[in-house]
Parts: sequence; structure tokens; C-alpha cells
Amino acid sequence: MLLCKINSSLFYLILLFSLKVYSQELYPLTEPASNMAAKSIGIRLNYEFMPSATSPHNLTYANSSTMFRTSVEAMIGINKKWMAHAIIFSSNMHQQNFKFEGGGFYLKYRLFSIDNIKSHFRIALYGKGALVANKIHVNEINLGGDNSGLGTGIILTQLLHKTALSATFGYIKGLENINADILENINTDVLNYSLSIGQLLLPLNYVNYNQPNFNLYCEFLGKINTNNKENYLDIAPALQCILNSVFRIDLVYKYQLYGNMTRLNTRTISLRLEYNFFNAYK
Amino acid sequence: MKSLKIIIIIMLFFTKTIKAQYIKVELQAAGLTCSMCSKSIHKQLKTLSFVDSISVNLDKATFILFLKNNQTIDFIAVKSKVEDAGFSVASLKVFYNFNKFNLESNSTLSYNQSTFNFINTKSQILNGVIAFKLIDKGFVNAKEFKKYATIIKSNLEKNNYNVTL
Repeated sequence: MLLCKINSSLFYLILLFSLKVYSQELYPLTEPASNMAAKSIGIRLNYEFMPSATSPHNLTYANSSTMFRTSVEAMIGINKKWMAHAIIFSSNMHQQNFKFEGGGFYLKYRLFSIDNIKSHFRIALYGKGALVANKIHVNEINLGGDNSGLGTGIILTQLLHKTALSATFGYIKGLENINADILENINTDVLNYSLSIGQLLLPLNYVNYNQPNFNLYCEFLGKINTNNKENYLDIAPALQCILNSVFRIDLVYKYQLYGNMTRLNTRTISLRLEYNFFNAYK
Repeated sequence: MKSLKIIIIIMLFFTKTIKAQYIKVELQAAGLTCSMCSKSIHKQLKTLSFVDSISVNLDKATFILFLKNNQTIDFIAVKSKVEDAGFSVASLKVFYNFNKFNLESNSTLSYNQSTFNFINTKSQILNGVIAFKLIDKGFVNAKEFKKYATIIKSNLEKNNYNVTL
């Protein structure tokens, strides 16, 4: 019986490999263990739209109208081992008006790398932080604009026979927001994890750098609060278009698969625009 | 005066016919499939002063470097550029125009301040354009390097490379 199961999984694995699909690891919502090129700079604009009344809880203090957040992110490849991001957030999620919320940083170190033709396995460590001026409402500690805090974790990315998978395991410690109430009844220790899959739809054959690339992604993102065991798991299918090998457009629909954590929203539509400058400085 | 003109013309003719020994360098990068990744390598390689132009095969992640004449080619810099882009060199082949070069075991070829130590080759006469491959650490994958590690006598130094046919 077990042998039969192994055989059938092997069959699917072989089938998957024989499809010869190119895959990508420029995941819309998570970072791969690979770094951006040294001395390159990227600018990312992120627009998140959250349809109203998506929260499973009656959060009367949250903005009753449609919520949206925009963020501007600058990314830099310091050298082949280190890269960094800086980000600022604005939203109407915590009050009626659209307002500047604060900023954050992200640092990634490429720890381990095995490269082969069209394949690699990489491990990276990251550290991130955010400092925002929102009033804390919910138990979902995130460093994406809602909460101040610090986070760290490990990323493992495997590109094998044109199939790319990436997993992240991390820990986030929520800290007090600027001018906010003390963290009452808020559990601030969160474990986060994710699994991301990506594949190239077009072009079928690479000929030059000007061909538009279309990539399909599916990401699973989860959190567990270590104190009260509240948790959730989101799924985020996404379509990505890369123009001229430098301009990236992501369209993402993220929604909750299951969960019992108090959250501001459980559905988000994101549009991301990113432009990369290679050899941006000497 | 007329004879001087003829001498100048003859000299010009000879300068034009003296061929550069390096014909091209073929580099295959490892660890990538996407065009954005390939473009980052391409942009890095373009910053090398001795590279004249680059032709790319995106599907095979192969870059053909055409070199400027009479320049010292720093192959370690080529490798560093690929690594700066976030990837590795899978293979680096130098297409060289040999002129009846007598290759024996442990032969050494010197050209424009670069020295190439031939390893694991049979005795033969090399004539015409023939490719040799760098086998130092970082110029082949880790598995292949292990194969050569025991027979390489000198460590990788600037302008001193271990190669095989």
C-alpha cells in the first residue's frame, strides 16, 4: 500500500518534471533566499485594496469604509551576500482619513548556495522591523504597516528542474506603536510561515530580454500566536508580468483559508509595480 | 617618398592581418532560469573594461564575450561579476587561436600577461581556433572541481589559471 503511494507520488513528480515548465521565484508576497544583484536598486509601489466588511469579527473601531494602504519600498543589493529594503506605509485602515503610518526595514543575508545549470538551493536569514503610529486593534501582529515590531527568520529556496519552491519560517515580536495605548490584551509573540510556488507561463522559449514574461504564483502564508494559539492560513494566487526584464507588475488576491485570529481583514487585492536599475551605482 | 608610402601601406596591411589570439570567451552561468536574472549578469559583465560586446543565449544562460584587442583578460573579474549578480559560473571556455602549439603534459601557455597551465591533456599539436576550459575553483561547479582538485598544483592566482581541453 505504502509502496503504491510512493509509486504514484513518484509518477506525479516525474510528470511535473517532464512538463519542463520554467519557474520563477520573484514571489509577490514573500522574499526568496536569493538576493538581488549587487549594486542594483529597485523601487516598488504597492497598492493594497481591502473590500469592506471582510473581517470575521465585529471590529467597530476599524474604518467602516473600504480600506486601502499604499507603500513605497526602496531595495538595494549591497553585495552578493547582503541586501536591504526600506519601506514607508500610508493607509485609512485605522481612521477615516488616509494618513502616513510609519516605516520599516528588511535585511537579508545569503547564507548558503549551491548552483547548477538552471537549478539552485539557497538558504538566507533575514531581519525586519517596523515603527508605526497606529493604534493597535488586533492580535494579528504584522510588520506590514499595522504594528511596530521586530522579526527574524530563515528562508529556503529550491529551484530544481525548472520548478521553484520557497519556504519561510520566522518569529515576530510586536512592540508598542508610537503614541498608542499600552499593549493590553494583545499577544505579541507570533510565529510566521509560508510556502510559495511559482512558474513561468510565457514565453515558451527565451529569445531576448524584451519578451514579456508571465508568471503564475501560489503562496500560502500562515501565522500562529504562541500565547493564545490563535492562527490563520491565507492563500494568495498571483499573476505577474515582467517587461523588458526590469519592470515587474504583480496582481495578487489573498484570502483566508481558515483561521480563528482576530484580523482587520481577511481579503486583500494587491497591485505591485517594481522597477529595477542594474549597476545603479559604482 | 614613394617607397616610404609603400612601406607604410605594407606595415598597415600587416597590422591588420595580425590576429588577436583570444577569439571569444564562452561563459555559462548556473543557478538561474529567468530573464531578469540573466539581465543582471549581462549588465554586470558589460562593466568589464576588456569586454567589447556580449551575445546571449537566454535559454542556455550562455554569454559569449567578444574581447577588445591586446588587453589582459582578468578571468577572476569575470567570475566575480557573475557572483555579484547572485549566480555562479558553470563553465568558462576560452576560444584561442593556436599557432602550432606543442601541447605536452603540464604545458604552459602565456599570452598578454596571462598564464594557462594545461592539466589532464594528451600530447598533441594545437593549431587553429580551439577552446580550453578553466578548471579553477569557481569556474566549474563544486562537483567537477573536486575531480580536478587533486591534480591542480597551484592555487588560483591573478593571471595564472589551470585549464584543460
